[in-house]
Amino acid sequence: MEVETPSVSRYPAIDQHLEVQTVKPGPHAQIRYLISSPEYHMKRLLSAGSGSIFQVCKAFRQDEVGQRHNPEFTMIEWYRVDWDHWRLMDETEDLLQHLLKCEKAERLSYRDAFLKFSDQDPFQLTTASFRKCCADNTLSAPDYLIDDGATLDDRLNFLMGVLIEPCLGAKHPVFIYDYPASQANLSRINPKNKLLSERFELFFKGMELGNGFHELADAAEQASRFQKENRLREEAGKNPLPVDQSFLDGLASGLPDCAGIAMGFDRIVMLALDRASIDEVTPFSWDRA
Amino acid sequence: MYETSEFRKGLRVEIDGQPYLMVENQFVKPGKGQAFSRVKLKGLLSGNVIDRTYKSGEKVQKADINEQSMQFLYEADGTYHFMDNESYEQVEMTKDQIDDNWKWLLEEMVVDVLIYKGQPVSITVPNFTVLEITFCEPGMKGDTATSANKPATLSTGAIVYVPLFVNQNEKIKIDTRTGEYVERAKS
Repeated sequence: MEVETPSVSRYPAIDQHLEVQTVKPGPHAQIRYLISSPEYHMKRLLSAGSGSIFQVCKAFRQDEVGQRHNPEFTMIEWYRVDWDHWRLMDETEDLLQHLLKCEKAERLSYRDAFLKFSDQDPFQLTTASFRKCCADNTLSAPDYLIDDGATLDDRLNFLMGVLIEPCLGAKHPVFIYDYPASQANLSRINPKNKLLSERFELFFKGMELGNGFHELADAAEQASRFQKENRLREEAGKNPLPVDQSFLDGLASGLPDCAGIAMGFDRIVMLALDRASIDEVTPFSWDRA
Repeated sequence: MYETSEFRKGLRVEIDGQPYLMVENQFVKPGKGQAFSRVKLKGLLSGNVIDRTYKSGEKVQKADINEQSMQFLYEADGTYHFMDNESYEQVEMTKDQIDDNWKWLLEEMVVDVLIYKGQPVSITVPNFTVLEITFCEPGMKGDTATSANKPATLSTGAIVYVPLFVNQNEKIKIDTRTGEYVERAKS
């Protein structure tokens, strides 16, 4: 079923590395938030018994401007009830082949992707091996990552963004699965291995196209992850964000077993039309909007 | 200070006491991770290109640098002399500082002189300039279709490649950013 959820929300998504755009709907009104993804609202519908749902909508992020980023962009997001993330990968692959006439996708674990393209085991990365990896690949890592106090996830995300992602999906699309449990805000943890989450991302031609999960349905666990994200935000000098209790109540009332994915529509258009910049596939770029 | 969200090509910044020109800026945001700006910076004094990665929100010092419009007077013994047409102040620069721009410098040409902490450090010439060919092999009449080129020496001493139909003593328009022939100038 196609659904429509609000663009302007009472609560923001809570993520240590994501800044939401705010609006003030009236002179005496409370600040509201432009959605960075329709995820919380769509899960509230799922909890209310909607069954499988999809939508194509606008999403907004603060200060994300670049060749592949526009602070306002189009997202395709859908959820499949009673599916896990493996089955959702298969369906996503079908959609991508239909849209881009591309070959079948490869599946590679997060760990194998790191071993293949950076020669590092992401779960064993040390300060010394991180420094060596940066030197070997002439990556100019910012000082805070090189210092001893850097977190493993910050280092892994840096290597993923600047070293591994550009290598992914040169010929055919590739799904990276088994992301570290520490990098999963809204997905389930692998029941057999607590270090891994049931999260995947999709890449093609060195570009991230989508992010999917076997969705976390445990309200208490979700609440504690929000707390952790807010704590990390505060440690990084950012403001903590208000928690969407309606979303947590929805989970508590029973989110069905489901898998969901969000894909960047504009990037799919970039690939379909063979354009290097998101500006070339939107009539009004951020500068001219 | 410039914050990462203000980064763009052409920004002049100072790092470790050296002025740099931002020649490339790439925004990187790994799935659920910290966003970065990866930039390429060209040393305005050294000419060296360096890579730097900044996390979003970081700030970089602005370079104390400005541009002054000046007229090229003359060159003598490898020293290039320029004058500010309003204040009549004169400055001089070495050939190293002028870099490849000597190829397009004609007396009386107005250029932008880059002043860093009060000292001239480099120049920017207009994007297009018209110069006379002082020597090239004779042209081939009617040959306007092929893409073959021949070398031509300009009045400044620079050599550029021109189409076969262009002749000695003709004036041509050149894109100084690429150093390439654009068209014959209407005289």
